[in-house]
Amino acid sequence: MPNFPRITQNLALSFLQASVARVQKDLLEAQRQVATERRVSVPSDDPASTATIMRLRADLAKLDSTAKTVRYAESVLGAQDGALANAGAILERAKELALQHASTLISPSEREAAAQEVAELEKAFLATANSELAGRYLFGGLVSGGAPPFMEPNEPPLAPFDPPFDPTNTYVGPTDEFAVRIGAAESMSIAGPGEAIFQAGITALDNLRVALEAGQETSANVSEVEQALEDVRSGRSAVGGKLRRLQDRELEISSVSATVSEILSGEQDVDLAASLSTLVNLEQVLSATLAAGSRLLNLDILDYVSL
Amino acid sequence: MGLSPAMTIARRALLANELLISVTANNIANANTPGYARQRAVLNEATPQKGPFGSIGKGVVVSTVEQVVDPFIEARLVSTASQTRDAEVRNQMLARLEGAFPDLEGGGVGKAILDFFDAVDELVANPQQLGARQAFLAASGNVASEFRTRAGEVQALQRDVDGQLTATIAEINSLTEEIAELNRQIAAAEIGGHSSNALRDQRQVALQNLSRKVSITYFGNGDGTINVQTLGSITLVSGASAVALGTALDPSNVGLDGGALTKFGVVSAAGGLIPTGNAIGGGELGALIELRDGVLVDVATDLDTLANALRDAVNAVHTDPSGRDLDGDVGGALFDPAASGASDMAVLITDPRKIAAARSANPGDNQNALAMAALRDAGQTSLGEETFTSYHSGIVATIGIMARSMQDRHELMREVEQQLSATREAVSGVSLEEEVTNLIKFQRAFQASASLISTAERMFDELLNLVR
Repeated sequence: MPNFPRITQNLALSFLQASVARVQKDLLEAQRQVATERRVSVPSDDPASTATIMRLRADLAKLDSTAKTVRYAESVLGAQDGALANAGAILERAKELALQHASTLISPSEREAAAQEVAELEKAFLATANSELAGRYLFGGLVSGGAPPFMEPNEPPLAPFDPPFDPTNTYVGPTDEFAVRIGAAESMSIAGPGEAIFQAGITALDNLRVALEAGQETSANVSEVEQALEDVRSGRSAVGGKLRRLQDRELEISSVSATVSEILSGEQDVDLAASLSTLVNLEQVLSATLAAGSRLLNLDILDYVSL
Repeated sequence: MGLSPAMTIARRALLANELLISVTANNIANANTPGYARQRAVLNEATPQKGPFGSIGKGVVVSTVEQVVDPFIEARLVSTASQTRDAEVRNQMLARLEGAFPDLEGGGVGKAILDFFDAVDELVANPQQLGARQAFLAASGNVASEFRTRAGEVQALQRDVDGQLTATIAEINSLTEEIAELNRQIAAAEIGGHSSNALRDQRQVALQNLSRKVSITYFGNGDGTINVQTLGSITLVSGASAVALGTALDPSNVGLDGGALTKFGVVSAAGGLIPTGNAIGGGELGALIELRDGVLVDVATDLDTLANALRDAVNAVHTDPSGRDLDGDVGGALFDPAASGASDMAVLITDPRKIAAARSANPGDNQNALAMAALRDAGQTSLGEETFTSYHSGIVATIGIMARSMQDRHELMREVEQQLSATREAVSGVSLEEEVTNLIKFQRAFQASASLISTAERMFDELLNLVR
């Protein structure tokens, strides 16, 4: 406070008002921070932090969206894994049947029964190859809805233009892969064309059925089914690899999100204990200022002199 | 030598102390009057009379009643008022501008852009689903709506500022007329050589109020009147005449909303406006002009740049010749390419089937949507290689920096003004303790003077009794 030559009542009062206003302003800010738990509510509270806060929020939003995509991809690949496990089981059963009927001692009726079972396995295998999740074919690349990626025999043909069923070439879906973004510069195919996985199996099962229906021994079919089984295992292995990458990515996102949230909190949130302490301190300062002002204002020369 | 001189001295003392008490009473009465400068009566010893025993004093006379003012402080107060008001107006307007960008509260353009790209990600995962397509259209509409809203807020603020300009000019005219009239009254009242203190106080208050509106300088003419000029040497008051400023809509200066903005100048004899350029500025008027033609235009331009960059980047992907909608057609523009910027940004597509998420006829194809999703992290040439969200963060942070800087400046100028007001109060303010003490002193002197008259009267009576 400067050294004023005279102190008038108005001067003392204006200093008191200014002091009270200053404390009240700080008190209001402390109350706002405690009530909102935010250090920065409007950009002018801390312009330097504002850009950082907005960037961190954008990062968090992007991470959330990516995490959502990763979870979606996990559900698609999880469904593929289940479908491929099922396909493998079908081929295992077919292999057993092929081994059992490799002998010439099997009766025709037994072969006929086996042929009927293989026919069912063939249908189940095709249905697995055409598995869907939420309208999307799991092994159809980009195809979604409409005709399945693997042709199924129509007997009799539903329409004259139905193409003839060729068990050695059933894949009619697109060759492009269905990919999603799991990072700023990382995308992953989560539904490729399933021809490489299923075509050998379809052919092998069909050949096995034809052999059994013809009453032939099936030793030649065993290796064919085994090869098809290898294709399915290989496909499942690739799916497993992708699932592991997605799980890693989910952990990465979770970890990065936690770090970003912590930095964001440091930028925008208040230290509640410190803020409460400041609030209490300012309340005391205001009380003391008002008390001092009250004593000052109660001093009146007219109480001491008589005119 | 008789008793008559003693009576004269006593009478003069009585009158002088009566006047001192009146001046004290006036000081006490005006203790809380804004702009009032305490007054004091200047006493001088009356010219002594030469006699056989040397010079004999003839008592006291009041030479004048003067104001206790420091002209340097008064001038500083006037010039500071201009800077304080300048900072105050900018602070208020920037706070309003800041309020128009509620990004830290979880709204605004920034949030809409994030939601838009979240919807794109959803479209990437489910390009065939109408629900995801509908959500994408809604998010696109929301982005356009947010841009329009924010641009509308900036436009409305500019129109408010422009409207306030007219009011400010009217207030300047009113104050210059008041100062001219006070000049006339002061000149008339001070012909006798006595200072017209009350009128000078009123003029000083008017000068300070005028300085809040526009930066001024003033100087005396020697007859009690003053001339007032802007810092650019445009005369606003010359003695008892005021120069009128006028306003008119200027069709050549179009605002953000497309309407004509206000121009102002000195009113010519023919009633037209003589443009003053930058010669009139500072204070409230200067702040309003700078906000209207500078800050708000810059913010609107930044918003337009961002809106156009988003529109062009998204449209470029959506209209890519390889892109296909659910009907197998090449996509049309998602955002209206004819829009001039943020204020009229609009979504043209209403049918979710028409979103070109694919690059083949296959409805499950998401390759075009993937290209759109990649825009989230892509630096844009028109934005200086910044992404959409980082550019927008920059806009909001810049507004925050301006608002914070002006809060600090306003706070500082208020402190400076309070300090100057305190200094003025210390020099020119009324101290009740001082006045009451003076009152007692003058009362005692008055009583003594009255006793002197009473004593002289008794002495006269004694003399008269001698001759009876």
